Amino acid sequence: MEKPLEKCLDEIAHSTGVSGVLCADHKGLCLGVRGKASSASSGTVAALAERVASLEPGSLDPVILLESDNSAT
Amino acid sequence: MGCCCSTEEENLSQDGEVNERTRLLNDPVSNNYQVTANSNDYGNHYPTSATKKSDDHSVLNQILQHTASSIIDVGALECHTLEQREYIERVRTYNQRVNAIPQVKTPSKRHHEVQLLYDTPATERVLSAQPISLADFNMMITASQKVVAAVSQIRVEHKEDLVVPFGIP
Repeated sequence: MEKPLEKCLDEIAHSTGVSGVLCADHKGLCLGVRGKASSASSGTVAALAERVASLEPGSLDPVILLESDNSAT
Repeated sequence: MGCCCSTEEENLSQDGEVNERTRLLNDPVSNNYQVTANSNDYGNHYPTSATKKSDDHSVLNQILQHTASSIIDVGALECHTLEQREYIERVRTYNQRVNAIPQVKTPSKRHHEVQLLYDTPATERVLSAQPISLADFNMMITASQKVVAAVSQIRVEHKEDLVVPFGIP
C-alpha cells in the first residue's frame, strides 16, 4: 500500500527544478526520500515545520524557504 | 541618560552646537509666562485712549500674539539631517568607543558551540531579497497535497483475527 506514495515521490523528484524530496510524518519518521535529500534530516525538517506552523496558528500549512549564500532551498 | 525618571543631570551642549541632545521644541511653560507679562505692560501704557473699536483691535492683537507665540510649527524647525561625512565620522567614533570597552566573555560557552544569537550586519540586504516565486510556491502546495493523499492510503488491513483459538479440549 505504499505504492501510491512511492509513485508520488518519484513524480515530484522528476519535475523540473527539484533536486531532492523528503517525506516525513509529524513525529519526524522518514517515509520516503529521493535525490539529494538524506533521511537523517527528517527529524530536523519535521521539527522546523512544526515550529513554523505555530507562528501563525490556524493558517494553512507553511512553505519554508531556506536561503544560504550558495543556493536557496 | 535622559528619560522620564532619570536621576542624572541633563548635560545640554555647552557651546550651543546642535547634537543629538539639543531640544527640538522650546519650553512651552516659560513662553506663556513671558507673553502675559508683555501684554500687561502694553495695557498700562495707554489706559484712556481706547475707543470700543481699538479695544477690540487690541484684544484681537493680544489673542494673535498669544497664539503666534504658543504655536509650535514642527515643520519649520531646524532640519537636523546629518551630512554623509559627519555620519561616517560618528560611526567611526562610536565603533572606537565600543571596541574600547573590554569584552565580557561568557565562561560557560565552549569555543566550538554555535551561539543561538549573533549579529547580522546587512539586515536590509537580507530582508529585501526576492521571495519565493509563485510557480515554485504552487508546485510545493500541489506536491504536498498529492503526498498527503498518498500517505492517507497507508492503513491497517485486517487480514485475520488477532485472537486464534487453539482448540484445546
